[in-house]
Order: sequence, then C-alpha cells, then structure tokens
Amino acid sequence: MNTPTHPRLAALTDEDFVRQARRAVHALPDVPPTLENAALALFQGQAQAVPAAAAATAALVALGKGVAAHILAVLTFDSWSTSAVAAGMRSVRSPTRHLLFSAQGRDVDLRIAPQTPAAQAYALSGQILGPDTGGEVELLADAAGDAGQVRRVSLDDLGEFRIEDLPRGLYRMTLQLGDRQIELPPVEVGAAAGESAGDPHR
Amino acid sequence: MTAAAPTPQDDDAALVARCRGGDASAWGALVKKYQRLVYAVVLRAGFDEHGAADVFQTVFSRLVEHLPRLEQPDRLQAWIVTTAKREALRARQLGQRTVSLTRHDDDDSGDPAPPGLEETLADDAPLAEQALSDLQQLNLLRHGLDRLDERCRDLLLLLFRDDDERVAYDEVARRLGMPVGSIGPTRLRCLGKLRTLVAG
Repeated sequence: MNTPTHPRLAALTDEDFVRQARRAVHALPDVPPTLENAALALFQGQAQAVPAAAAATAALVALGKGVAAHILAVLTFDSWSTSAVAAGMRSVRSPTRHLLFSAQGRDVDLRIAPQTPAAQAYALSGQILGPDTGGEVELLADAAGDAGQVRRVSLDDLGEFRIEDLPRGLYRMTLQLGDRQIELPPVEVGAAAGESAGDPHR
Repeated sequence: MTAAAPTPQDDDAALVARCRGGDASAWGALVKKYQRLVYAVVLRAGFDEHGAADVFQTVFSRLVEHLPRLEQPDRLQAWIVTTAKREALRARQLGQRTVSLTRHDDDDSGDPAPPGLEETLADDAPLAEQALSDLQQLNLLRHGLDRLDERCRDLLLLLFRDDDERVAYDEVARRLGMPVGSIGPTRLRCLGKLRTLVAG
C-alpha cells in the first residue's frame, strides 16, 4: 500500500485522469463538521492548556485529589449535527440537545435542555458510562457574564448528575473519576440551531 | 500557515515538524488532508455514521499522541491508513457497542496490524491492500480539488456529479455566472491546474 502513487497519476491520459478525479469525489465523501472540529480540538488539548481548563484543574487539585492522568474527551455524537436524512425526518429539532463524548474507556452522555419555555435557564444532565464508582463533575463558566463561576456536583450511584439554572453560555466541564481527570471540549449551553459544540474556535 | 506552498505528499514531514513545535495550523492542515481518507476507510469497514465517528476519533487521537515519536514522518500517509484499517477492524471485531468503551494502548511499536487481523482482511475486498492503495491515490486527487481556487473547484465538482444528478452546461454556466462557451476551456485549464497540484 506504500507504493508511491504520483507516477501512475502523472502517466494517466487526460480521459483517465478525469475518470479518476470523478471517482475521487464519490469515493471520499465530506467528513461531518462535528468530526472535523473534534479532530481539530485534539491538538489544542494536547499542545496547550486552555487557561480556564487549567483553572478547573487547579480547583480539582485543590480539592485534595491526586491526578494521575489528564485525558481529553472527544465529541462522538451531536444530535443537532445529525443530518435530517440520517435521522429520518426533516427540519424538526428537539429542544434537548444530546451529546456523546468518549475518553479512554469512558463515554460521557450529556443532555442540555431548556428549563423554561423562554429558555432563560438550562439544565445540564448526564451520565458517565464506564468502570468508575462515583466521581465529581465540575463546570466552569467561560462566558463573559459568569466567567470563572464554578459549579460542582457528585455523581450518583448510577453515574448520573444534573446541574440546573445555567445561563446561556460556553462552559468547560471536567470529570474527576478516581485518579483520572477527563476534560471535555467546551460545551455551548443554549446554542442556537446550527451552532456546534466542541468547536475550539468559538 | 507559513508561506511555504504545501505539496500533496512531500510536506508531511514538514507538517509533522511544525505540529511538534506546537503549530495548530499544521495540525489543521493534516486533518484537512487526511480526514476524508480515514473516514472512507472506516466506512468501508462497514460502520454506520455513529460507529464511524468513534473510530475516526480514535485514529486522530492516536495520531496526535504519536506525533512526537513518529519515526518516519514522510511515511505519515501509510501510518494513517494502517492505523485506520487496524482500528476499524478491531472495533468491528469488538462489536459496535463496546467500541467506544474500549481503548488499546499497544500501538507504540508502530508495527502493522497483528496477524489475526490481516487474516481477517484477506477476504475483505474493500480494505484489501490494492483497494487502499487506490483510495490513497483518490485522496490525493480529492485533496487536490480542495486546494484548487474556488472557481475551479466549484466547476469541477459540478461537472463530476453522478450521472443521475448531472448538471447541464447551461445550468453550470448560470450557477457559476460564466458564459456557456467558456466552460469547456475553463474546465481544461482547471484540470491542468489539478494535474500540477497532484504531481507534487
């Protein structure tokens, strides 16, 4: 599979070159933007600590928990990014947004729902699927209004948690599971339709 | 991006070097260049959208972890294809539900897929070596299309549509705001540009 392909391409007749280019368009579909954004975000998590995330880390360390591993979770599913065709419907969007993240053997299942019809406050609920028994969730507001405000809850016996009365904005979430710390990409609470979660460039 | 004009294949080593230096734009260029290839390999392994997303992320996670110790950055494409194939087969063997809960960290050796997986591959036409080699060439072409100027890219993508949704020249002319008579010559010029781009 490692044979250089250039010579063969260069040797193609114009007609064959066009045929091959046409095949390329059909064989290599566009990658969903959610996936591309998550892949792009991987590097940020790897290369540089985001100041707010560093603050969250510091806060957890201050709780007296030793951190053996800091892991960046990746977004694997966003109900608002699923195409209408794939969902088998058209132009109907649930007000509840469902996000799934993966991080080394754990899945993080998040739901963001408006608490009031006017959507001034949101509830963030979720469940950690993995081998851990117990843990803590820390949510750091990244938005201008509530910047720096930290909300902290514990997981219940089922690995579930719920945080209410969140104003619209960008949040950074960190999970403390035993000696592992899992950081999620920034999550937009109350994002308008079409905006994406986990986009590092927001 | 730096001023250095990227070539399709030969600049992988340069991109890897820039990634190692913390250059996020170099990582962005790598993702753009190889995401379709990874996605296509994973889809060929038979995953649906959700399952493909998981394996796709695993492959790029491995790449970002592996960058600092990648020994032959000029062979990045081969590494990516091998990893995508291996992760897809592994995930398929584990079954789709367990994929996202399982993580293997034994890839540091850079070895190719273990024999068991290669055996699985023997009767697996979409992921056979020849098919993957073909796919790599197609990705080179597809990435070349991405790097064309907007006008050329729009024109070629319109003209390359499937037969059942083929757009007539006068409609292409209308959409792109060019005279019908100039489509033929422009198409030729754009194909020439594409040839130059993918020749590296």
